[in-house]
Amino acid sequence: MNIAQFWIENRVTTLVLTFVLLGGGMITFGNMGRLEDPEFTIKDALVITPYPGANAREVEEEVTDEIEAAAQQLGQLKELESRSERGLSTVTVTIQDRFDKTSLPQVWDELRRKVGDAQSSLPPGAGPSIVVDDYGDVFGVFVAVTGPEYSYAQLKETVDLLRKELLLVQDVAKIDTFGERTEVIYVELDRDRASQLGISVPRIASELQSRNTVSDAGRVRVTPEYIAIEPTGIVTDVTQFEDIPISGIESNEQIFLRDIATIRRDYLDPPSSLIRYDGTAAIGLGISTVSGGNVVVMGNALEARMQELRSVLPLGIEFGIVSLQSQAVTVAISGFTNSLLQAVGIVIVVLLFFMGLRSGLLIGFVLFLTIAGSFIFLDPMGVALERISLGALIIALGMLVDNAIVVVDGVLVRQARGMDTKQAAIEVVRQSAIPLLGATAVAILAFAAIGTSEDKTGEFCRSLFQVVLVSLSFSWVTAVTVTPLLCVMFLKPPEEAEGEPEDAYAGRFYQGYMGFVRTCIRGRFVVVGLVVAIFAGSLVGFGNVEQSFFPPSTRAQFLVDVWMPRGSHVDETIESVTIAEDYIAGLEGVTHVTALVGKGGLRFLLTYTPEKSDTGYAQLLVDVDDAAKIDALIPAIEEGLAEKLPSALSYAFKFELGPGSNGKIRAQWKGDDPNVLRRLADETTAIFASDPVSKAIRNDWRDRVKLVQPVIAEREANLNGLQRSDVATVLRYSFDGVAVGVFRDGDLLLPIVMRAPEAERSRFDSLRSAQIFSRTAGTAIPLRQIVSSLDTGFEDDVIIREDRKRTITIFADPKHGAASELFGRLRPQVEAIEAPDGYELEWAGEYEDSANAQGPLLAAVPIFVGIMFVVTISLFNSIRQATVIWLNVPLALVGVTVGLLVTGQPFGFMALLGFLSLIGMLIKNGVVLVDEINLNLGNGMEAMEAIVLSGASRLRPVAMAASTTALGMLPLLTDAFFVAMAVTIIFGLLFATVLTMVLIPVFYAILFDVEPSVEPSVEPIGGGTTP
Amino acid sequence: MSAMSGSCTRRTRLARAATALAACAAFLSACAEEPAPEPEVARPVQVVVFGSEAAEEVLEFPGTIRAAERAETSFEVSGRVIEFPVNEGDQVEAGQLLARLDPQDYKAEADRKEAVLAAAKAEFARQEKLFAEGVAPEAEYDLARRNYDVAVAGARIANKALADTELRAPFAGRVARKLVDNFQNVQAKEAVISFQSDSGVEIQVAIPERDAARMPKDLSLAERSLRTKPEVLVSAFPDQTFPARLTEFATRADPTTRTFAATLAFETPEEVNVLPGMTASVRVYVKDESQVAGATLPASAVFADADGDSSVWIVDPGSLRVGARKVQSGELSGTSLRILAGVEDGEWVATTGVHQLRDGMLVRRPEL
Repeated sequence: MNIAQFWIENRVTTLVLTFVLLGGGMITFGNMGRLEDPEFTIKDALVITPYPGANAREVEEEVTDEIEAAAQQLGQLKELESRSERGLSTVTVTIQDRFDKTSLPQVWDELRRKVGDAQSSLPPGAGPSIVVDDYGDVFGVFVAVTGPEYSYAQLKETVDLLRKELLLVQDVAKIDTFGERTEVIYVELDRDRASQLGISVPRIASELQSRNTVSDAGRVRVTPEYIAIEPTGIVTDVTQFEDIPISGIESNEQIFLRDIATIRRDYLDPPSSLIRYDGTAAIGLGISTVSGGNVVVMGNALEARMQELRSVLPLGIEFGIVSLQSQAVTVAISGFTNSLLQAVGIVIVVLLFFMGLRSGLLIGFVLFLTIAGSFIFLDPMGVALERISLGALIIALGMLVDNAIVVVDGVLVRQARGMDTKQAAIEVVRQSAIPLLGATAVAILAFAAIGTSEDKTGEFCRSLFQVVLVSLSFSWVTAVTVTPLLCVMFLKPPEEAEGEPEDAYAGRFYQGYMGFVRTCIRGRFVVVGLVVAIFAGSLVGFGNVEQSFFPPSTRAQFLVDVWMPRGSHVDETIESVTIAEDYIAGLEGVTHVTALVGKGGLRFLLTYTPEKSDTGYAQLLVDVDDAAKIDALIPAIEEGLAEKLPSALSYAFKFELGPGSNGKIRAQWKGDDPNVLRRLADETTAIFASDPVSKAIRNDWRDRVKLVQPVIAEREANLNGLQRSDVATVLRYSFDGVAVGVFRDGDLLLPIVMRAPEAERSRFDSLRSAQIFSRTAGTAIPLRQIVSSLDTGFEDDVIIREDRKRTITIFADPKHGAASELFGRLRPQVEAIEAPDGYELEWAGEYEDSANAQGPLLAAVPIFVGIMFVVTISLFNSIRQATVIWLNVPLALVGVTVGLLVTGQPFGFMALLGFLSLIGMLIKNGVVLVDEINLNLGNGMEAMEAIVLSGASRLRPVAMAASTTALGMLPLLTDAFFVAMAVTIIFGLLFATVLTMVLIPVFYAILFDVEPSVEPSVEPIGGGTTP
Repeated sequence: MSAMSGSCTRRTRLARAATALAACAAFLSACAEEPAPEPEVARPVQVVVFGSEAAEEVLEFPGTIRAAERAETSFEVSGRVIEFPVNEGDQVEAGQLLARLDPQDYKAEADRKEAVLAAAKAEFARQEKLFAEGVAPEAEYDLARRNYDVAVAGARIANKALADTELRAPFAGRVARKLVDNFQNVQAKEAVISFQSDSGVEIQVAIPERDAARMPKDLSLAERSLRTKPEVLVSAFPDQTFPARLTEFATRADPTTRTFAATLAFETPEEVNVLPGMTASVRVYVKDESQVAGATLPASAVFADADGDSSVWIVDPGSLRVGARKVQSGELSGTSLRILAGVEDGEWVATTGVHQLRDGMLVRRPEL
């Protein structure tokens, strides 16, 4: 192998390349994309279809069904969920995992076409469907614009100005608002006057409709010109409405609209959504970054622009920050980088300790080079600096130095024996390049399973594999190219003070070790028995380790959901939220409270899923000054709100880290009859409620709501020339208001709504006293004439289907501890519920999410384990030797179990990844040891001695590799996300390494039938045969 | 050797310790910790005591105010208006001249008839004398008397027609509206002036069939007023109500609208100037004894159970636990829902948080 020789001899080239890589790497590090958490693509789109006036059942059967049928034609469909409410159908289309953000737009186009085709089969009155494909867009900046001294109109003006200006800032993709209220022109008719004059609602409606529209009056030729004609009379101002003349039926006098109606310009009442910041009314503003853009760059550019705009904005306009991704990212990245530097520091210290100053520094330099060089390759791959990629680097640190350690150690040993450094370097590389490559490949393959998973969790963790792949491969490259050169340049052979080169293994420690190994080989089966017992014990212990999916975030902000009963008026919800706001703001540690009423806010975090519109829903985002206080605040708030808002269901929860959401335990009943589904849901709810640890128990069909059903007397109605639609219009007018046209005001289009005055609207009994204009009588008659009674009934207001079957989902969360524990207790009870034929139970929530995440992983693991096994076999060309190595792998469990139980960490997804990577590390250790044994055997040593001496000679490198890896992960113990993985690897590696160094000799002895020779006191031959 | 065995023992001990540790850990965590049941928390609820007083329904009917006494005066004869001395809004005395037609034709006619009368009277006197002397036959005497009678009547008619050219106020009151203009030709019986008295106003409303039917049959108008406590709300005075009494109630429905006209009279205090033509509505309170056990509960207390039936939560005053009860509900009124069956008098019903309660839950009433 001439690799090392080439690089050593072309010294200048090597050094220049080294520094180019180093410099390039640091520059790339500065420019790489930065995020807090890696991106995963949300593969959902919404299809929204309005159907005003239809109840939920009608929407489900006539609209949702059609849209679902259209969406099902998509071959790329994974899952279909639909929500049919009174007047609205929302279908959520989820696409299969294998599509990523480059291939998804094509799929959405196809969906649009299918939905477009389905429009003709929608019933009359059903509005056109809208496909919302940017459902997964994240608004990295979410602020609440407040101006307590300003009117809402002025605030809105400011927001519009900001919107226009900020869209031009670098890297800004989209700006959305939240809680904006639409302006409306209200025409409130005095009922008594109108009926006295015989003026009906439709009359006035038609008068108003045509007043403001553009009409084409054509042109006239006045030679030689062709002149346009535009008659006046367009209403340009709201006050002009009042001067519209209306003629009464009885007299031919003309009266003005203002005589019988009040006209004013106001905001749509009731509002559909609302946002408040610290109790002040606000308008929310969300800004998203272009795909591939840099959040931090955008954040800085925005701040700069805002400074410039300050002079244009009215004084007193404030910006409450709900979420500022760029800030969070900067803080997070510096945190991660600190951890990285700490880890590097620890590793170098360990190296110095084990290998001495020069070697330690040399290897440290190579480490830096490897990391810097990796960045150069990672950036074009699309990997950004975020939690996972930086964490991966820390995990890989220990492994990165392994290759260099082997080379340097080999050179040192040969130097000590008197070989020329350059010769030594070349020889070391020649001997160990391929085995090292094999070992590196094995370590990389251990992470491959996560690199190939297409599930969103896999996407989330993909950079782990990518970083390990690139950095480990690069570390092998630097180990065989740069390291030998540096050894030649900097490693001085030791002074030839002593005549005889020392025997490296004469020390007490080594002697003790070798003796112990011999003893164990002699009593090999006892040892094996002990090992099996330990392993069995750890299996049992593992059964008691908590299972979880992902840990919660350490963000200094948490959420409080308040659910008023379904069908509550939004004003009631607003009142309740005000009470909640005041209460929470008064608690210690709380800095700001943002309240969202009517629906969930803009998606300002990838892991935040906004709730769909519900007049009874409100959410509070609570900022605290110290994230550690959240755990104490949550139960306090839940208790306090249960007391203050008895009609509402309130609960609090933290943000999630990684995919997943609250409502960790979800039981789903699928079937046909809503009554049966609700009964099953009630039973399930009762079971959930019986466990003292559960909280936030609710179902997604919510409560049945009341319905007022005026019974129309058909005969009377006919006699008066009236039908259901006329009754509906009158009733609509009496309360909500009827839209009778639009009014153009500059760039705004304001709907004109006619409705009864406040005094009538606010009383339910106005329904009884309403008047309807009878065509045959020519006068207004009481509505009660044609409405025989007002029945009150109940209806399902929301019907949810999954994959076209009606599905009701019951949610629950644990008050403390892992959801999996609670799930374990509840599951058998719920599964014991007797369900009639045609109804089945499915579990979703964390159970499903982690199964979905682990599924592809565990499916891929056998493949990669197989590949790793083959690689191991091909390294030694022997199955038995490979088996010797692989027998050690299960022992990793021992350390993992002990570590997790001692530290109390749950075994989550990250710990699983850590466990998989452990396999790679153990294999590597084993490969190194077995390779050494083969070498010694090849040099003619006797089997037993070969085994024992190999162990001794590899003890230091293996111990170093293990300690650098394990200790390098110490900084991760403080990071909530990686702690479980760090514990897994640290404890697992340490325990397993100790066991490996004893057991590989034993297993080798067993499998190769090594008989301990007659035990002469073995004089270690002076350095002769040990390389 | 000793070093070896020493280290051997140390190693073995380590191994044993590790095993022991693993086993202990396994053991300890194997003691499945069932979570300690937390003490039951009583949820606060508002409670109302169910009472069975018949609920009152409030109905409102719009109508127009008009004067209690009003007339649309017209001339008995046709002609041309030459004098119209009053204006809209003028107060007039009874018998005051309101309008005058051109009397010339009628004067001429009256004169002519007077002349004819004079002639007939003279002729009659002559014939009478002749008949008394036995000269004229009786037939002639009868004829003359007939002519005389006819002439008298004719003169009276002509004089009345002449008098009818003057339109006078039938009673003291106010000129509401002038329906024709001065110098206009009017027909006989064509409405000329809308005239109303100042004494009191009334309001006429249309009562739909359904509500009219709920009135018990043989009640006098006064009794009906007492029952329903009608009051008038005038749009121009939104904060005041004026008590009214029923003065008329149609017994036959209007053929087109199928409603029954009802008239109510009411008084207004001095400073309130309620004028005929203003819009107003009449509010009545109807006690619903026709429906069985018609007590109400706040609408928020009623919810739907899994079968879709209306239910409420009954609180047991002793144990303070709730249980669901199906009820039969009637109509919504104001913010209450009428309960027809299912709840007994005096039972406690929970009115808040009904969607959060579950069977058997412990509740408490917050301090009032």
